[in-house]
Amino acid sequence: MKKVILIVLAAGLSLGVGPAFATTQAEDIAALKAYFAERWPNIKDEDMVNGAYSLSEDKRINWESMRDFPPYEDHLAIGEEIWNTPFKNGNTWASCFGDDPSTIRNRFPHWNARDKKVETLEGNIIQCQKANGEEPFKAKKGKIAYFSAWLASQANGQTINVVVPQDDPDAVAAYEAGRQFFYAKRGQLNLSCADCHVYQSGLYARGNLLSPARGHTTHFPVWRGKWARSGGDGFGTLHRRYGGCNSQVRAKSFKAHGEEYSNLEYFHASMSNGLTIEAPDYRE
Amino acid sequence: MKQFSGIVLVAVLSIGFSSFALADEAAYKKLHAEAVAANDKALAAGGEWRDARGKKSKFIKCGDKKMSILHAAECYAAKGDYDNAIKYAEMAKDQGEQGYRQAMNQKNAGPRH
Ligand code: HEC
Repeated sequence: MKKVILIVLAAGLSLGVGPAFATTQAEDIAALKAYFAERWPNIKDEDMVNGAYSLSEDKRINWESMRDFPPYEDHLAIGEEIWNTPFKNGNTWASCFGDDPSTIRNRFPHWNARDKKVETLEGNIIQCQKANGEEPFKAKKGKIAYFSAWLASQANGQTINVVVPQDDPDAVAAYEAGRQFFYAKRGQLNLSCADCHVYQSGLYARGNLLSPARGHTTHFPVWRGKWARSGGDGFGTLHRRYGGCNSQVRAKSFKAHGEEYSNLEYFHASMSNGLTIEAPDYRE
Repeated sequence: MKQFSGIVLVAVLSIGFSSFALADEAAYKKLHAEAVAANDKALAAGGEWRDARGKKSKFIKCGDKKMSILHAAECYAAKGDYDNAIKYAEMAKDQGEQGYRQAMNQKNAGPRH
């Protein structure tokens, strides 16, 4: 029955194809904000960081009680320990990221003009380990999520400002590739990220209240009840979530920290510019 | 004499039968190769679907196990069940073609609000 609903939703949405878009990052953000402001006149922009929990009173109450005793405190402590542990070669994480852990989260994602690619926090954590001859963390969960969550928690309250240098055509192209990814229908169910997280946000799909894309990236990594139930702990990175959201429309997911998801993150995180980092957080 | 004609009959039948099986096997192998090519093309366009041949997919049953469509085709072929092997190879090929078309169709996707 649930499946039927999703397929009906998919069928209803399989409308036409848009033209190529020549809007800038600033225009895209303004348009998305305006869209959500009109959809939910009573929800303040700053509350978009709370995702689905801004849209449903019942869900909000549940979520608030989870946050009173967060299940992830011990894992944050492991994250801090990772920061304080030097590599075997004697170098520290500061050799890659600088001394002040509170300045790291908010520098990502960013454009690396020399290597002509988008860099993400987790991608660079792995890169730093490789550069120092360390065995890299697994890409989507476990230590990489604890460490990333602790780094993000050090940046709480900072305003997100993902920069796309408009005078660098390669950076703009990466941003546009991310935007295309976000709006492209995919998989057997023929649904795009935007179908669920823009146009159908606030509605239910398979018993899940669909969150708006603005505010999506402010609180990652997240601790999900669902992930905790599927073995291991509940922590996962943003790219783990991307993989899950691709898979549920029956599309093949992409490699974490590969070009596709990094470009997607560049666009997707941009859509939260002006909001504050509040990480980590609990999600169903 | 009776015995002899019986043997001939069996021989003729089994030649006929095995050439059917050979024809099925050949048809399956051709479809399998086409399915792989169609999904490679979809993959290159960023449009491959989850269940066509994904390692973790649990979409189709072969025996007690669930697996991707193309893996199911291979599983049935290994059992000599070419009806099912052909059916699933065709399905995997179809998904590859649809995934590719979808990716082409969505090349210029963007906001419509
Ligand atoms: C079939 C609908 C559907 C599609 C398509 C979809 N998602 Fe989701 N997504 C969900 C559901 C359901 C959840 C869990 C409830 C929620 O928070 O929205 C979710 C959650 C998320 C979250 C976590 C939100 C939070 O507050 O922590 C992110 C981030 C996300 N999706 C990103 C994406 C991206 C990027 C895409 C496209 C690659 C995508 N989703 C495609 C259904 C979808």
